[in-house]
Amino acid sequence: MQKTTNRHASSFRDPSGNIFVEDGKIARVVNPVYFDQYHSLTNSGFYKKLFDNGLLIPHIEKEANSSQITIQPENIPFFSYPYEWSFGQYKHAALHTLKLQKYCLQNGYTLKDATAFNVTFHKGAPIFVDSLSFDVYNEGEPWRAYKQFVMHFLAPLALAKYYGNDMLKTLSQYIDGMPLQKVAKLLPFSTRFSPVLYTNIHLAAKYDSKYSGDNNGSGKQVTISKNSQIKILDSLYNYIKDLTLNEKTEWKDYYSITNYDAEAFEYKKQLVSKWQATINAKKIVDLGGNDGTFSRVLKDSADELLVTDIDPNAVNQNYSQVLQNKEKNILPLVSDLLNPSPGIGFNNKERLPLQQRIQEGNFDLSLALALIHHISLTGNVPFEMSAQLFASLTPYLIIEFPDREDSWVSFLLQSKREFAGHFDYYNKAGFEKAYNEIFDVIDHQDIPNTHRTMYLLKRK
Amino acid sequence: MRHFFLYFDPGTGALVVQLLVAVGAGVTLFYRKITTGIKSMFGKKENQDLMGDIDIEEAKDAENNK
Repeated sequence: MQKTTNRHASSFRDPSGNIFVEDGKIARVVNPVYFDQYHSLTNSGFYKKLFDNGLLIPHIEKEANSSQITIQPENIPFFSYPYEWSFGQYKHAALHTLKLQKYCLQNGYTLKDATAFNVTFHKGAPIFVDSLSFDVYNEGEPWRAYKQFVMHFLAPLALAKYYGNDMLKTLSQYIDGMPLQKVAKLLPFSTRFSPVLYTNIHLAAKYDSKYSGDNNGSGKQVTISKNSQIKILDSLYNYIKDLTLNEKTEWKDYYSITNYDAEAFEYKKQLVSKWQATINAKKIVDLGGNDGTFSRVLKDSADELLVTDIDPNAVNQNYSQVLQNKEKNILPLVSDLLNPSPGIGFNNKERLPLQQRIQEGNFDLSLALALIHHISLTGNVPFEMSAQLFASLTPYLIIEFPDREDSWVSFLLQSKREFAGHFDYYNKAGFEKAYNEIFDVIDHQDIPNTHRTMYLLKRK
Repeated sequence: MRHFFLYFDPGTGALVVQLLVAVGAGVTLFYRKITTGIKSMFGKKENQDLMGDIDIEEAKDAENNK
């Protein structure tokens, strides 16, 4: 009866239903145990209100009988995970969850879970994706997903405030959120004087361990007014919204210090635009795309742009621009090409590797601008292997090759010291030879007044 | 029946502590109200707000999203 054969590998935790893949589309089965809630949410018009306000991914009902209901959510072209978000994105996803919970309370519902994996980015904003995470609110009940919210959102954000961007990756290790006691131990002593962090983390950790042996559910008797719960949500919202992070990274303002003159920069932009039109690429992944400067050249002609970069501050900058310009087709993500997100969770399939998601997303074109020298010289990755990687992602590739005379390349070579001889292979001829094995060259152009060449390549 | 849905442990301590968290939240919200009041008296402007407010502006907002 249940379509378990195509059940999505991430969908098994909640007995309310599960998602499955049919004809390449995601659909969600609602089990009878959730029928009451589902009918209430549908008939009261609350689902529709959530859709209209951009809080929940919209769905339509495909099929309904006494044993199951099937709903079809709007397609999300690329699903990103919390450990790939920049600080601003992480914040925004946390705020979105709080906003959603407050709205639920005001309408007689509550979120029964608040994992960060229930939020992703779609059309330039965070969106909640689990249509079955809602329950009817009973006056006086505490927020059951509160602990989950703290473990998934507040903890990584607070740690990032004190220790930097890396802390936002903790969910790749702690798929169920960071343990409260550990977070309380890690945070600096001074956080005990912050009313929000003291209560929501230190005190919560203390109570959590105090009651950890309590399995008979005495927590059910706790009564907290709706008003008080809204106060918690409001104060968390204010705190998270004001959070800042002061961490400089090496790439900050890359374009202002890089060795391009304005003319070469413009030439490169026009070339990328021209080639994109030639092959009519609609779905593009910009690898090492920094703050999205080059992706923005293509934003009107492409449907979808995924811009990844290793530098979280550049990605953050990119996301600010997405919000500012209300760009719906650019998704910035933090990713190190030399160590992209792996598959994690049960069977390593609950959260999929970044490369697999790109491959399954059927992107047309990869951009690798000002990137190959970092992969080759910083990462020591041979040309054959980087060519294979690019070819595995998309059928077309636009790649920029800076030769040995380029100032950045010679800087990288010099920093290799006595090991520099190992990189004698790094030159235009070596590059072309290795990439010709895997790609056909459609076009190539030297960028005037630089030692850089651009290639438009097609996978063989 | 309802608690069938608690497929993860909400943590008794985390439910109990919400009473205290709410008290702390009340204090910070009151403090914030006063400080923003003072700031606005001196005509200090808030930074550019890209992520919006916690409250949903119904209908109006919905139409803008279309």
